[in-house]
Amino acid sequence: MRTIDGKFTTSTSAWSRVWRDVRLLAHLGRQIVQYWTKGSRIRRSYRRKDDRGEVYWLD
Amino acid sequence: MKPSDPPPPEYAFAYHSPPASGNDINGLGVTESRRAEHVFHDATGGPLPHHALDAFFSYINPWGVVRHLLANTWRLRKQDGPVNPERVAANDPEKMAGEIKAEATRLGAELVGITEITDEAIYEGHEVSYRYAICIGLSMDRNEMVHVPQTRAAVEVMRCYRRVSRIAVELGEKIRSMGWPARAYGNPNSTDILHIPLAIQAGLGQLGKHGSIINRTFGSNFRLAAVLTDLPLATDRPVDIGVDDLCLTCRRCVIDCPPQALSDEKQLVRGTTKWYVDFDKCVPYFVKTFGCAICIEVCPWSEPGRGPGLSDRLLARRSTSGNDRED
Repeated sequence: MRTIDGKFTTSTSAWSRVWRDVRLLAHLGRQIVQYWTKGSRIRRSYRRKDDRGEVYWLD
Repeated sequence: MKPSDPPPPEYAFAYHSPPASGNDINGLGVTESRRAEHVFHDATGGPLPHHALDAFFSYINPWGVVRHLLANTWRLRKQDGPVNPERVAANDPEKMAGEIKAEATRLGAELVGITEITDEAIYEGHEVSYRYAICIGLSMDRNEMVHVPQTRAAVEVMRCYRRVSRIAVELGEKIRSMGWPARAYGNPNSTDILHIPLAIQAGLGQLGKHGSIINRTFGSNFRLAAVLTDLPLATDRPVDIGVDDLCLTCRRCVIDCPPQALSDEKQLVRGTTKWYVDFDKCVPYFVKTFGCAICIEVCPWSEPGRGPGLSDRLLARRSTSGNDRED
């Protein structure tokens, strides 16, 4: 979940700007889906472990 | 102010195999001068030593924070773009700097300063082809920020980043429409540049004991963005508002930092002695609290209306004691 630098910003023609927007929307859509799917699992697991005094391993 | 019910610096997350110390990567104790390296955040998404912690941070952040981050990402798609082939003449850098600052202010910026880009403000492995940086600052809503390190302060931080990014993007578009290349750098995860050294060079403030910039009016209660450009502009000079005079004796941020990541002494970092935040102590707490920000809000300078008088008194005391500093 990051802001971006450069990845989607070099387009100059009108068509390439539209294409850039479509790709970025898809990228953001994927991030939102991941936040609510994978992220939900991580948040649940982390909270459970925190409550039990266990460790959530990052690696 | 006092932090709002800060949780203890105990963590329910850890590494089996901890990555290299962030302090080592940052060059703590290193005598030779070199560029900074990314450690934690990187907008390119490349694997960094503390990438796993950054990814975890992304996922545990509340939706109220994440939605501003995503909106900021969408806005920053326009950070660069086509340049008008018909170039406006810029023969008077002073006048042009005045016009650009007026435009930034019109767009909502509360702080604007201009500097030439130096090597120390560019990350290792990155290059920028521009000569000038227009640094932009925007204050955060103090009514929200007094709740640090609770979620509503984290939301306000990201909301402010989103607003200051908008100003940078629109200013960049304006400069490109004048026929000069320009690229906006929003935050929080700029890839190429370090915002704080640029903003200090541009006269927006001085580095404080908490490792953040302190501005005369807003203290540390503001966020930065920048526009890099080749448009010829008169530059500003670094300011001395008396930050060191206060930081050398004030211990507010050191006392209130739950993980004790701040130090009373300046430290040698990549060849420069300066205030430094212990990365390995700070970042786990930063992650746990979705951005912490206690140190910048407890700073006396961040109290609304207090900064200018504080600066005046510190500078007056210095001149009466005959300890004038040289620029």
